[in-house]
Amino acid sequence: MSTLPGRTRITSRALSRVATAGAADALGTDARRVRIRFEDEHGALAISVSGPMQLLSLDRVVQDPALVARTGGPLTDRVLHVQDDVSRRVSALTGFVVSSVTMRITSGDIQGERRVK
Amino acid sequence: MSRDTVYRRVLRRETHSPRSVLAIAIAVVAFVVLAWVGVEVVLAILNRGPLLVAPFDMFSAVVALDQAPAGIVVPAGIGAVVVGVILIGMACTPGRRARHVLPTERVATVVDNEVIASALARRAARAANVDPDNAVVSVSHRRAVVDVVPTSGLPIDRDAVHATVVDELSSYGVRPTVTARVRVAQAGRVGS
Repeated sequence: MSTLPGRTRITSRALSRVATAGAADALGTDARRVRIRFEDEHGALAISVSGPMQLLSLDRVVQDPALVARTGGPLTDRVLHVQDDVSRRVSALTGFVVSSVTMRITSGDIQGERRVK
Repeated sequence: MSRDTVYRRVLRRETHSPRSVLAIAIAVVAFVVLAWVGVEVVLAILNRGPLLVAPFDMFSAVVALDQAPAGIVVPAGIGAVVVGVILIGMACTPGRRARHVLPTERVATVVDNEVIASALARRAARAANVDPDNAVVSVSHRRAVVDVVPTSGLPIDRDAVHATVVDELSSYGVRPTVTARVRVAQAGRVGS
Protein backbone atom coordinates (compact mmCIF):
# COMPACT_ATOMS: atom_id res chain seq x y z
CA MET A 1 0.00 0.00 0.00
CA SER A 2 1.30 3.43 -0.84
CA THR A 3 1.75 6.05 1.84
CA LEU A 4 -0.35 8.59 -0.02
CA PRO A 5 -3.97 8.63 1.07
CA GLY A 6 -6.40 7.45 -1.54
CA ARG A 7 -7.86 4.29 -2.84
CA THR A 8 -7.94 2.43 -6.11
CA ARG A 9 -11.20 0.80 -6.87
CA ILE A 10 -11.46 -1.84 -9.55
CA THR A 11 -15.08 -2.00 -10.59
CA SER A 12 -16.67 -5.27 -11.54
CA ARG A 13 -16.97 -3.95 -15.08
CA ALA A 14 -13.23 -3.45 -15.37
CA LEU A 15 -12.64 -6.78 -13.68
CA SER A 16 -14.95 -8.39 -16.16
CA ARG A 17 -13.05 -6.95 -19.13
CA VAL A 18 -9.75 -8.17 -17.78
CA ALA A 19 -11.04 -11.66 -17.11
CA THR A 20 -12.89 -11.89 -20.41
CA ALA A 21 -9.79 -10.96 -22.40
CA GLY A 22 -7.66 -13.41 -20.44
CA ALA A 23 -10.14 -16.24 -20.76
CA ALA A 24 -10.73 -15.65 -24.46
CA ASP A 25 -7.01 -15.72 -25.06
CA ALA A 26 -6.57 -18.93 -23.09
CA LEU A 27 -9.53 -20.60 -24.76
CA GLY A 28 -8.35 -19.54 -28.20
CA THR A 29 -11.60 -17.81 -29.03
CA ASP A 30 -13.03 -14.35 -29.49
CA ALA A 31 -13.67 -12.21 -26.39
CA ARG A 32 -17.25 -11.57 -27.51
CA ARG A 33 -18.11 -15.24 -27.12
CA VAL A 34 -16.85 -15.53 -23.56
CA ARG A 35 -19.09 -14.83 -20.57
CA ILE A 36 -17.65 -14.09 -17.15
CA ARG A 37 -19.39 -13.97 -13.81
CA PHE A 38 -17.94 -12.99 -10.47
CA GLU A 39 -19.06 -14.07 -7.09
CA ASP A 40 -17.81 -13.69 -3.59
CA GLU A 41 -16.44 -16.75 -1.84
CA HIS A 42 -15.71 -15.93 1.81
CA GLY A 43 -14.03 -12.70 0.85
CA ALA A 44 -12.13 -14.12 -2.12
CA LEU A 45 -13.08 -13.85 -5.75
CA ALA A 46 -14.79 -16.74 -7.51
CA ILE A 47 -14.85 -16.56 -11.30
CA SER A 48 -17.17 -18.46 -13.61
CA VAL A 49 -16.14 -18.65 -17.23
CA SER A 50 -18.34 -19.91 -19.99
CA GLY A 51 -17.40 -19.98 -23.64
CA PRO A 52 -16.42 -22.12 -26.57
CA MET A 53 -13.17 -23.98 -26.91
CA GLN A 54 -11.13 -24.98 -29.91
CA LEU A 55 -11.33 -28.68 -30.62
CA LEU A 56 -9.63 -30.99 -33.08
CA SER A 57 -11.66 -32.73 -35.67
CA LEU A 58 -11.95 -36.44 -34.90
CA ASP A 59 -11.01 -37.37 -38.48
CA ARG A 60 -7.65 -35.76 -38.03
CA VAL A 61 -7.07 -37.40 -34.64
CA VAL A 62 -7.75 -40.79 -36.23
CA GLN A 63 -5.27 -40.01 -38.98
CA ASP A 64 -2.62 -38.77 -36.59
CA PRO A 65 -2.92 -39.95 -32.92
CA ALA A 66 0.07 -37.89 -31.86
CA LEU A 67 -1.88 -34.72 -32.70
CA VAL A 68 -3.67 -34.68 -29.34
CA ALA A 69 -0.46 -34.55 -27.37
CA ARG A 70 0.94 -31.93 -29.69
CA THR A 71 -1.98 -29.55 -29.26
CA GLY A 72 -2.01 -29.49 -25.49
CA GLY A 73 -3.24 -32.92 -24.52
CA PRO A 74 -6.76 -34.14 -23.82
CA LEU A 75 -9.62 -31.70 -23.44
CA THR A 76 -9.74 -31.97 -19.62
CA ASP A 77 -6.04 -31.10 -19.38
CA ARG A 78 -6.54 -28.12 -21.62
CA VAL A 79 -9.49 -26.90 -19.56
CA LEU A 80 -7.41 -27.18 -16.41
CA HIS A 81 -4.71 -25.21 -18.11
CA VAL A 82 -7.17 -22.47 -19.10
CA GLN A 83 -8.54 -22.40 -15.57
CA ASP A 84 -5.10 -21.90 -14.15
CA ASP A 85 -4.31 -19.31 -16.77
CA VAL A 86 -7.43 -17.21 -16.03
CA SER A 87 -6.74 -17.33 -12.31
CA ARG A 88 -3.13 -16.28 -12.76
CA ARG A 89 -3.93 -13.48 -15.19
CA VAL A 90 -6.64 -11.95 -13.02
CA SER A 91 -4.46 -12.18 -9.92
CA ALA A 92 -1.49 -10.67 -11.68
CA LEU A 93 -3.40 -7.78 -13.20
CA THR A 94 -5.63 -6.84 -10.28
CA GLY A 95 -3.89 -8.23 -7.21
CA PHE A 96 -7.05 -9.98 -6.11
CA VAL A 97 -7.10 -13.35 -4.42
CA VAL A 98 -8.91 -15.75 -6.76
CA SER A 99 -10.35 -18.67 -4.86
CA SER A 100 -11.88 -20.61 -7.70
CA VAL A 101 -12.43 -20.60 -11.43
CA THR A 102 -15.41 -22.55 -12.68
CA MET A 103 -15.14 -23.50 -16.34
CA ARG A 104 -18.10 -24.15 -18.54
CA ILE A 105 -17.35 -25.06 -22.12
CA THR A 106 -20.48 -24.23 -24.05
CA SER A 107 -19.41 -25.35 -27.52
CA GLY A 108 -16.45 -26.51 -29.56
CA ASP A 109 -14.86 -24.78 -32.51
CA ILE A 110 -13.46 -27.44 -34.77
CA GLN A 111 -10.41 -26.17 -36.48
CA GLY A 112 -7.44 -27.55 -38.29
CA GLU A 113 -3.99 -27.47 -36.77
CA ARG A 114 -2.46 -24.15 -37.65
CA ARG A 115 0.86 -24.07 -39.32
CA VAL A 116 3.71 -22.24 -37.69
CA LYS A 117 4.14 -19.04 -39.61
CA MET B 1 -17.91 29.36 41.52
CA SER B 2 -14.64 28.57 39.77
CA ARG B 3 -14.49 27.94 36.06
CA ASP B 4 -13.80 24.24 36.48
CA THR B 5 -16.90 23.78 38.59
CA VAL B 6 -19.00 25.56 36.00
CA TYR B 7 -17.53 23.45 33.22
CA ARG B 8 -18.11 20.27 35.15
CA ARG B 9 -21.73 21.18 35.68
CA VAL B 10 -22.24 22.19 32.07
CA LEU B 11 -20.66 18.97 30.80
CA ARG B 12 -22.76 16.89 33.16
CA ARG B 13 -25.87 18.68 31.93
CA GLU B 14 -24.95 18.25 28.30
CA THR B 15 -24.17 14.56 28.55
CA HIS B 16 -27.19 13.57 30.63
CA SER B 17 -30.87 13.86 30.01
CA PRO B 18 -32.53 16.32 32.41
CA ARG B 19 -35.73 14.22 32.47
CA SER B 20 -37.60 17.51 32.61
CA VAL B 21 -40.33 16.46 30.17
CA LEU B 22 -41.18 13.49 32.34
CA ALA B 23 -41.02 15.52 35.55
CA ILE B 24 -43.28 18.23 34.12
CA ALA B 25 -45.76 15.66 32.80
CA ILE B 26 -46.01 13.94 36.18
CA ALA B 27 -46.34 17.29 37.96
CA VAL B 28 -49.20 18.30 35.64
CA VAL B 29 -51.00 14.97 36.20
CA ALA B 30 -50.57 15.24 39.98
CA PHE B 31 -51.78 18.86 39.91
CA VAL B 32 -54.92 18.00 37.94
CA VAL B 33 -55.78 14.99 40.12
CA LEU B 34 -55.24 16.86 43.41
CA ALA B 35 -57.23 19.88 42.18
CA TRP B 36 -60.10 17.60 41.22
CA VAL B 37 -60.07 15.82 44.60
CA GLY B 38 -60.07 19.21 46.33
CA VAL B 39 -63.03 20.37 44.29
CA GLU B 40 -64.92 17.16 45.12
CA VAL B 41 -64.25 17.63 48.84
CA VAL B 42 -65.48 21.23 48.76
CA LEU B 43 -68.60 20.23 46.80
CA ALA B 44 -69.33 17.48 49.34
CA ILE B 45 -68.96 19.93 52.24
CA LEU B 46 -71.36 22.34 50.50
CA ASN B 47 -73.78 19.44 49.95
CA ARG B 48 -73.71 19.89 46.19
CA GLY B 49 -73.73 17.06 43.65
CA PRO B 50 -70.27 15.64 42.78
CA LEU B 51 -68.40 16.40 39.52
CA LEU B 52 -67.58 12.73 38.96
CA VAL B 53 -67.47 10.82 42.25
CA ALA B 54 -68.25 11.99 45.79
CA PRO B 55 -65.32 11.53 48.29
CA PHE B 56 -67.31 9.07 50.42
CA ASP B 57 -68.00 6.86 47.38
CA MET B 58 -64.29 6.96 46.48
CA PHE B 59 -63.27 5.57 49.88
CA SER B 60 -65.97 2.91 49.99
CA ALA B 61 -64.97 1.78 46.47
CA VAL B 62 -61.34 1.43 47.58
CA VAL B 63 -62.37 -0.54 50.67
CA ALA B 64 -64.60 -2.82 48.59
CA LEU B 65 -61.91 -3.36 45.91
CA ASP B 66 -61.98 -7.16 46.35
CA GLN B 67 -65.64 -7.21 45.27
CA ALA B 68 -65.03 -5.20 42.11
CA PRO B 69 -65.01 -7.19 38.83
CA ALA B 70 -61.57 -8.75 38.26
CA GLY B 71 -61.81 -7.88 34.57
CA ILE B 72 -61.26 -4.22 35.44
CA VAL B 73 -59.13 -4.42 38.57
CA VAL B 74 -56.44 -6.77 37.19
CA PRO B 75 -55.65 -4.81 34.00
CA ALA B 76 -55.72 -1.55 35.94
CA GLY B 77 -53.32 -3.02 38.52
CA ILE B 78 -50.99 -4.30 35.82
CA GLY B 79 -51.05 -0.90 34.14
CA ALA B 80 -50.18 0.83 37.39
CA VAL B 81 -47.29 -1.59 38.03
CA VAL B 82 -45.89 -1.02 34.52
CA VAL B 83 -46.07 2.77 34.86
CA GLY B 84 -44.48 2.54 38.28
CA VAL B 85 -41.61 0.35 37.10
CA ILE B 86 -40.96 2.70 34.17
CA LEU B 87 -40.89 5.71 36.45
CA ILE B 88 -38.56 4.03 38.97
CA GLY B 89 -36.31 3.00 36.08
CA MET B 90 -36.21 6.53 34.73
CA ALA B 91 -35.44 7.86 38.18
CA CYS B 92 -32.55 5.48 38.86
CA THR B 93 -30.84 5.21 35.45
CA PRO B 94 -28.30 7.88 34.57
CA GLY B 95 -30.17 8.97 31.43
CA ARG B 96 -27.07 9.35 29.36
CA ARG B 97 -27.22 11.11 26.07
CA ALA B 98 -25.32 9.73 23.08
CA ARG B 99 -22.42 12.11 23.67
CA HIS B 100 -18.88 12.13 24.91
CA VAL B 101 -16.68 14.76 26.46
CA LEU B 102 -13.51 15.88 24.72
CA PRO B 103 -10.74 17.20 26.91
CA THR B 104 -9.74 20.68 25.82
CA GLU B 105 -7.83 23.36 27.63
CA ARG B 106 -9.93 26.45 27.19
CA VAL B 107 -13.48 25.31 26.58
CA ALA B 108 -15.80 22.51 27.55
CA THR B 109 -16.35 20.30 24.48
CA VAL B 110 -19.09 17.80 23.94
CA VAL B 111 -19.17 15.51 20.88
CA ASP B 112 -22.10 13.53 19.55
CA ASN B 113 -21.42 9.83 19.18
CA GLU B 114 -22.23 9.98 15.47
CA VAL B 115 -19.40 12.44 14.98
CA ILE B 116 -16.94 10.08 16.61
CA ALA B 117 -18.38 7.21 14.57
CA SER B 118 -18.01 8.94 11.22
CA ALA B 119 -14.47 10.05 12.00
CA LEU B 120 -13.59 6.49 12.97
CA ALA B 121 -15.32 5.09 9.88
CA ARG B 122 -13.18 7.20 7.60
CA ARG B 123 -9.98 6.05 9.24
CA ALA B 124 -11.13 2.43 9.34
CA ALA B 125 -12.09 2.47 5.66
CA ARG B 126 -8.67 3.75 4.74
CA ALA B 127 -6.89 1.23 6.96
CA ALA B 128 -8.95 -1.65 5.57
CA ASN B 129 -8.57 -0.35 2.01
CA VAL B 130 -12.31 -0.52 1.37
CA ASP B 131 -14.78 1.98 0.03
CA PRO B 132 -16.06 4.38 2.73
CA ASP B 133 -19.53 2.93 2.11
CA ASN B 134 -18.29 -0.46 3.30
CA ALA B 135 -17.12 0.63 6.73
CA VAL B 136 -19.86 1.25 9.26
CA VAL B 137 -19.15 2.30 12.83
CA SER B 138 -21.54 2.58 15.72
CA VAL B 139 -20.42 4.26 18.92
CA SER B 140 -22.12 3.76 22.24
CA HIS B 141 -21.19 4.88 25.72
CA ARG B 142 -18.25 2.51 26.15
CA ARG B 143 -17.90 0.75 22.84
CA ALA B 144 -17.19 1.41 19.20
CA VAL B 145 -18.10 -1.38 16.83
CA VAL B 146 -16.52 -1.21 13.39
CA ASP B 147 -18.13 -3.32 10.67
CA VAL B 148 -16.10 -3.72 7.52
CA VAL B 149 -17.22 -5.46 4.34
CA PRO B 150 -14.19 -6.54 2.31
CA THR B 151 -13.82 -6.23 -1.41
CA SER B 152 -13.87 -9.73 -2.90
CA GLY B 153 -10.30 -10.84 -3.42
CA LEU B 154 -8.72 -8.30 -1.08
CA PRO B 155 -8.35 -9.80 2.38
CA ILE B 156 -8.54 -7.37 5.29
CA ASP B 157 -5.98 -7.36 8.04
CA ARG B 158 -8.35 -7.18 11.00
CA ASP B 159 -5.62 -6.52 13.54
CA ALA B 160 -4.21 -3.64 11.51
CA VAL B 161 -7.65 -2.04 11.27
CA HIS B 162 -8.14 -2.57 14.99
CA ALA B 163 -4.79 -0.98 15.76
CA THR B 164 -5.63 2.03 13.60
CA VAL B 165 -9.01 2.49 15.23
CA VAL B 166 -7.56 2.17 18.74
CA ASP B 167 -4.86 4.65 17.81
CA GLU B 168 -7.40 7.10 16.46
CA LEU B 169 -9.63 6.73 19.51
CA SER B 170 -6.79 7.34 21.93
CA SER B 171 -5.80 10.45 19.98
CA TYR B 172 -9.27 11.88 20.57
CA GLY B 173 -9.12 11.08 24.27
CA VAL B 174 -12.88 11.04 24.69
CA ARG B 175 -14.35 10.55 28.12
CA PRO B 176 -15.58 8.04 29.10
CA THR B 177 -13.08 5.93 27.20
CA VAL B 178 -14.36 3.82 24.34
CA THR B 179 -13.05 0.37 23.46
CA ALA B 180 -12.98 -0.62 19.82
CA ARG B 181 -14.12 -3.82 18.22
CA VAL B 182 -13.60 -4.62 14.55
CA ARG B 183 -15.77 -7.10 12.71
CA VAL B 184 -14.92 -8.16 9.18
CA ALA B 185 -17.86 -9.51 7.22
CA GLN B 186 -17.57 -13.12 6.05
CA ALA B 187 -18.83 -12.33 2.57
CA GLY B 188 -17.18 -9.65 0.51
CA ARG B 189 -18.58 -7.46 -2.22
CA VAL B 190 -17.43 -7.88 -5.79
CA GLY B 191 -15.85 -4.83 -7.37
CA SER B 192 -16.44 -2.42 -4.51
